[in-house]
Amino acid sequence: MTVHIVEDDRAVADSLALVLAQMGHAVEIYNDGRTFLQAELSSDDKIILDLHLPDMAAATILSHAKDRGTGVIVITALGKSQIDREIPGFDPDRILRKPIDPQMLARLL
Amino acid sequence: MDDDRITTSDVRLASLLETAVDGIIIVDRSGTILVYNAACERLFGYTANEAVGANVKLIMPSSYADAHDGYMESYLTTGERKIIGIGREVAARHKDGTVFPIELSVGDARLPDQRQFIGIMRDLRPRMESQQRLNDLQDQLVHMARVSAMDEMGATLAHELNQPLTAIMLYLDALKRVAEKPPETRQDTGTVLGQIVEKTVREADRAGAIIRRLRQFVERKETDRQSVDLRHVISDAVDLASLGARALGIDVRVEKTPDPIVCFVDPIQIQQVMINLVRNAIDAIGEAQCGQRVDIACSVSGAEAIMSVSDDGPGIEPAIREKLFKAFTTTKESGLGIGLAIAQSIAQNHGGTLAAQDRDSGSGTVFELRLPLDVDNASGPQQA
Repeated sequence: MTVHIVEDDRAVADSLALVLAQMGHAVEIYNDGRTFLQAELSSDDKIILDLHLPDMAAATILSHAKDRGTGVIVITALGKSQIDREIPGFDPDRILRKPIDPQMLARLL
Repeated sequence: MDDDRITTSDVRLASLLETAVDGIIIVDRSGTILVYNAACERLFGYTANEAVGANVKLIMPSSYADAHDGYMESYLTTGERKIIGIGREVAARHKDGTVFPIELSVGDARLPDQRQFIGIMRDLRPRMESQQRLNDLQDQLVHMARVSAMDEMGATLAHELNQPLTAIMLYLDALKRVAEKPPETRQDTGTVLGQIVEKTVREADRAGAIIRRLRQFVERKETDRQSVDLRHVISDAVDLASLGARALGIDVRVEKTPDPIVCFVDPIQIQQVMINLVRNAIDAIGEAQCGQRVDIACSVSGAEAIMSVSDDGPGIEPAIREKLFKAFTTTKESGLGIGLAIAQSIAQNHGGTLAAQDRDSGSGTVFELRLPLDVDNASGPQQA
């Protein structure tokens, strides 16, 4: 299993990758949506997706992941109303609000 | 003798002197006070009894008093007028020693047998106090607009602080995991720990820089004009104003300017104008969901510096354009609509202008802030 991190903030992506590597995961980082869409995915991979990417709506990434049967954890600093607007109906248990609790992240993976 | 006969014109004169709101004094050519009205008693604290017969230097601060004989002598011999028939603002002195500003006009009465001078004096303190109050109010308003601008940015600021905070927490968690590993499985632990600590510090600095910049901008300071290089003012303003723009997919760019462009301004207030313009441009693009670029440039034209902020958003509707710079005009859901009104008054207070026009090509708006160059310090500012 590989954890794919789609996050435009380089420090957040880097620190996430470091924690996940320490947990023993293989990690890939993508700083924008376009690069991520070119990645190879398998159904036992996991995606950690920042809700607000500069180049792409989160919904586009979500449907891409769904087609490949890959699970997604959404991370965001946005407020609830914006979350509801961007990804209505997404399982709230799979949304982590920033700052992220690493324990919660470990449990979701 | 008709000395004892009180004529109608004497009564008129006495009543005029008593009624006048302004202080009225008549002196002879040696400066001796001959007439001193009721308003003077209130103005200077001396009674008419004390003042009449004394030299007019009595109500002058010593700096004027010393020169006064010379002034009168010079006028009487050369006829050159420094004050007579002109009127000017001078300092006066109260009996208690207080020196205060008055407006003084002096007339020259040429009587058959002698020269007399009539002085009319008005206390300038009330006028100055109301001017000062007006200035204070304006300062407060400008400051309020600054705080309100940051208030409107509150959600953006929270988001921008959240990123480094998230990174810091994750780095620290990674640090803990590395440190907790049994010694035999560790490889180069010292180096790894060092690298993580370094990255953590960098993120803490990033958060600190946002707070510092915000604080510098919002905290109340006396109006402080100085020679500054506008390039620094612009880069500070854009750093703060462009927070959150990238997340909206908006590209905020500052054109490079090779040479210093120096103006004598209050840098915080000019920053305020620039922040306002850049935030407006970002909001215009973000709300319309069309356009993606904000360009900021600074150039010199003649004796003026021109700072421009242009966006490729939808442009300004004609109905709004007419009252663009009027207070309480806004197309936004939140905010008071005072930003541009204040920005324009800041420009005008600095002897400059602020205007909006359509972009030459495509849709969008260009705002231009023009300020007079500080020609004395054109080579470089004393302080950035």
